[in-house]
Amino acid sequence: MNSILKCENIKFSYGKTEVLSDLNFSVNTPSITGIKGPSGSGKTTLFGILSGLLNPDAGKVYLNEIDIYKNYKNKILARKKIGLVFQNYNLIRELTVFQNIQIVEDLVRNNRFKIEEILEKMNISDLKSRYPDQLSIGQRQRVAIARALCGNPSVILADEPTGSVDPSNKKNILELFLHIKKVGIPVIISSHDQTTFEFCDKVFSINEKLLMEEYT
Amino acid sequence: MKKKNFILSISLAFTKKNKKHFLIPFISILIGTMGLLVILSVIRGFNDYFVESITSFFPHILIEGSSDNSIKETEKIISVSFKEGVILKNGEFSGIMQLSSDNSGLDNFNEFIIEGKTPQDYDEIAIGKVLSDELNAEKGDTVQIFSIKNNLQPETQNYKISGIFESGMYQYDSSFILNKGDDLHWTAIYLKNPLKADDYIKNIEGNAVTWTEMNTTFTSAIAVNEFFAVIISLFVLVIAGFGIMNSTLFSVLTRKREISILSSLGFTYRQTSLIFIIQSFLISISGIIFGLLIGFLVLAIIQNIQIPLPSDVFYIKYLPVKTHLSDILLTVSIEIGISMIFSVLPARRAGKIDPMDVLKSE
Ligand SMILES: Nc1ncnc2c1ncn2[C@@H]1O[C@H](COP(=O)(O)OP(=O)(O)O)[C@@H](O)[C@H]1O
Ligand SMILES: [Mg+2]
Repeated sequence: MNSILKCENIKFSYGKTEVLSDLNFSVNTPSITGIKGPSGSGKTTLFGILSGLLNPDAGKVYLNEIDIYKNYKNKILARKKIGLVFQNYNLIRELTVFQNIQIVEDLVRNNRFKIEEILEKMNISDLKSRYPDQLSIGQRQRVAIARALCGNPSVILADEPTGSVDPSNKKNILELFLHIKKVGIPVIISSHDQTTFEFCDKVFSINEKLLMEEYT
Repeated sequence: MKKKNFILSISLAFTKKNKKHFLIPFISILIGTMGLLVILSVIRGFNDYFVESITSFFPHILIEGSSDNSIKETEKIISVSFKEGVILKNGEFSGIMQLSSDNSGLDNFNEFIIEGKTPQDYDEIAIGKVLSDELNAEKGDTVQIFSIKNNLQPETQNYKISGIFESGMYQYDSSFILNKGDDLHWTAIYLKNPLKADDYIKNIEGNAVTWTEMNTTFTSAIAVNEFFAVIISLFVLVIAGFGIMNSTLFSVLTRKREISILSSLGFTYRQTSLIFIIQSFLISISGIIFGLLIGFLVLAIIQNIQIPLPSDVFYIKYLPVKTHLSDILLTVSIEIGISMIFSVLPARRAGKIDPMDVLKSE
């Protein structure tokens, strides 16, 4: 079976500090995968490598069997085909909610999802002409998820998406990932929080710079 | 087309947010455009005035001997001859250039006659307005002209002033006299477009000169004018250019976060840079539009209040302005070009910003 996202023998160090050593991992089906690890264990670094933002020191990353670090073109393609949701609020302040999503749609030229439908699904239709600064943290996270989805991604990577969200909103946001999985898009979520992993089909933990499967 | 739309909308949004920051480059482009337009229009006004004054009076091409017909688009062809001499009246004297022609050739100068008429007979002359004032010579007066004949014998002849002319050029009005003559060995051609004289003369065999060669003082003055216009313009433009460079760089550096978000979404180096290039383009365009508007206003004012020029230096009474469409286009394209060139370098910095920054906490 073809993998959607796969990495092989990834090594990465910041200067002399090794963060990841010989890391292997793949996602083949529309599922929710959890990446578990305490703060500073290398989750963000791993996500950077998986999403085409950070060149690994060694090893390969494949998205739909394409080596994403082979050249600049592949890297850009990978960034378009991977929906990133960050821990922090990462919308463009000068653009409205709708425009934030629209730039991705225009860039990727997706015709699978309509912005209006996604806004509807994410329950943020009435926020579309607001600016990010006028939203709560939970609402911003919904917009970020909507934006990621709008590019019709092969996979969604969410780096501690509920990290700064209050507990009552946490579940709502996690349910959105269940919805995305149902649409047929695999999701990878990093966290150090147990509630998140209850939504996951599979959980890996970063231990000693390696990734270990924990439970299924 | 749609692909560019979203880049434009991001540029617009960024520009709107940073409006205040772009005030300085906006104003410097505005002043640059306005200054350039006004300077070019004044220089053009002078140049056109000189060219018009010279070429309406002085023949555009002089060919020794009888005319050949190789020149097209001629307005008029007459026969003339030139002779230097000295004019005397009541003890006053002045060096002159005698332009002789036949009756039909002299008719050509009718339009410049402000008093009396062109010479009808061999013993009549017409003199310029300035010369007439200098010598205190009026229509009907008799003057003497001293010259050297072809056989090197000096000769003095009496002439009656049949009329006074005014060409608008100090040089002609102070030193040219018109008279009737027979021995006309130059063909004088007036073209529809005098500026083409130097092109035509290339194909002419034999001895031929153009008005530009005969009036080098003025044509080189025009060249100097244009040279200074270029220097001043470059100076203004470089200042505007640095303003643009500075603000684009500032804009890029204060938007690292947005740039890394865009890169993480799959924007290429070029697309992110383009956002900032378009931004500086938008500022330039608005600076240019306002610069042109204010420039036209200034020109309209100059034309209306008629700024007087010192009469001992300039022969024209008021500061002349004339705006050519080509000068406007030149101004606009230079300004746009400068803003592009000066924004590309700092905009490229946007491509160097680490997209990994988005994943890092603030
Ligand atoms: N730019 C950097 N330069 C040096 N060290 C870094 C940098 N970014 C992260 N690190 C270090 O790498 C390790 C992994 O960081 P990170 O991937 O952010 O972990 P996590 O997301 O699991 O908290 C940490 O020890 C951190 O201090
Ligand atoms: Mg992290």
